[in-house]
Amino acid sequence: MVFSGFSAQTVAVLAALAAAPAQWRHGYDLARETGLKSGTLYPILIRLAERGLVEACWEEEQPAGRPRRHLYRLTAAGLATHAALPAARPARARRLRLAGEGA
Amino acid sequence: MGLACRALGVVLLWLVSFLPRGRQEWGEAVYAEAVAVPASGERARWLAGGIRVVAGQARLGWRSGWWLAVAAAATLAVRAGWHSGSTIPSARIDRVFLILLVVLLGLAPWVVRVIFGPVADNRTARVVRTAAYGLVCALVPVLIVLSGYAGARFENMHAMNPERWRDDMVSGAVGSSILLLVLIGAYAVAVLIMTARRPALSPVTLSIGAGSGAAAGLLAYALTPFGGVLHVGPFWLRLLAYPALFVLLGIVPIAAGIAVTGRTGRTGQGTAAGLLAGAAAALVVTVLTIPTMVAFPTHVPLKWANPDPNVPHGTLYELQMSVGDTAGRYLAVLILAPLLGAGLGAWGAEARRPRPTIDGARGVTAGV
Repeated sequence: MVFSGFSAQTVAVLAALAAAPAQWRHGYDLARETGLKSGTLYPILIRLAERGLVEACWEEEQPAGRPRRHLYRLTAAGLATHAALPAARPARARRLRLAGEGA
Repeated sequence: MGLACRALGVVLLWLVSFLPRGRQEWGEAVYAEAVAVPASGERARWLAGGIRVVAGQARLGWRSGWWLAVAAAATLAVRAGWHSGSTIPSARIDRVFLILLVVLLGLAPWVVRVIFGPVADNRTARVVRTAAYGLVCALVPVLIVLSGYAGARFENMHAMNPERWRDDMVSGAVGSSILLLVLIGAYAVAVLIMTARRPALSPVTLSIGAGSGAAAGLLAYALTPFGGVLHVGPFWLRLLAYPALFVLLGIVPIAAGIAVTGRTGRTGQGTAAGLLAGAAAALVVTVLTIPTMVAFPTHVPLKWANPDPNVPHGTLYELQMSVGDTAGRYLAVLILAPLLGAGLGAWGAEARRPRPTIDGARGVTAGV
């Protein structure tokens, strides 16, 4: 735990979403930006959604040849929570992730 | 790799269908996102992570499924080992033993969890626990198969003193049942404790101890698959094979103790690695050898029921007796191997223990 109640990985996800708060983000984009694997990223998104800090929806248009993708962005509460985090540094969060996510 | 991704995707969607409606969309989200992941090992890892996500969401469901699977396995085991219609005086005791054994193996994980916590938070502990506990549970069908074959020689037996024979059979069954319950229970509990969160054995200890022990067990099985050294090569080679095997197997826990102490700096971890090596070797060789003997009884070293060389030998009775008596040897292996392993591992650990060095200027300092 780095900050009150949030792990370094969760802080990294909040920071990635807060970088463009109005923009809907895909899961794989978030995974590439934070360096997290799907097995780590999605439980974080689930917990943030349950707390009302993240909202999720499906793509509106049905693309040809593939299923619709899930999209995520911070809610107003999520944005406020991120702003209240003490000097959130995504780089530090990523270093902690690299140190912690081992075998 | 494309086939692996497709298989993982099918498994993921199948598992998602077990989730409550409100949770399904997250599993579907991981699956849908896989399209964006480059088609390679990365996509397979993405989907595998999705399976973990679904497993985490369905934790309560999996627990119910676990209990159902345990109950089904226990029922199958008891049915297979019931031997209804058996005329052997100790049959009832054998049935009670079997029921107690499956109950013990089903409850042990939960009892140990209360005291020592869940499995340690690393992949090595989870793998070692799953494999080792699986081997301990495999002793149940091994014992069923053995009693079904070797015990059959007592069916419809006409003893010269029936009452005494009945008393001997019953007392023997009671004694062996208690011994086996204690022994298998000790193995089960030891596996669970050594891989639990509180004792916190190092992953290095678990991997080196269990891995080297399993390899030693496989080697012993390869050399003695029917309970005796293979009849290959000249007689003097076979004569030397037994001591050579013991020496080779003795080196394994010593080496494990040295390796683990060298890497962790702690002799206790080295001793634990030796104990693990001995226990793993004993489990592997026992679980593999006994069914092999039952499957190929004519290859088991034959014991004569009648010392007279003029009566026929190699009868069904003698084959069953040979298998039963040879299998009894592995009971000693299961008892002695972990103890010897711990002793030899401690010896190796002590030899590798970091010793303080004396520096003329600075006095005693830690060193290796």
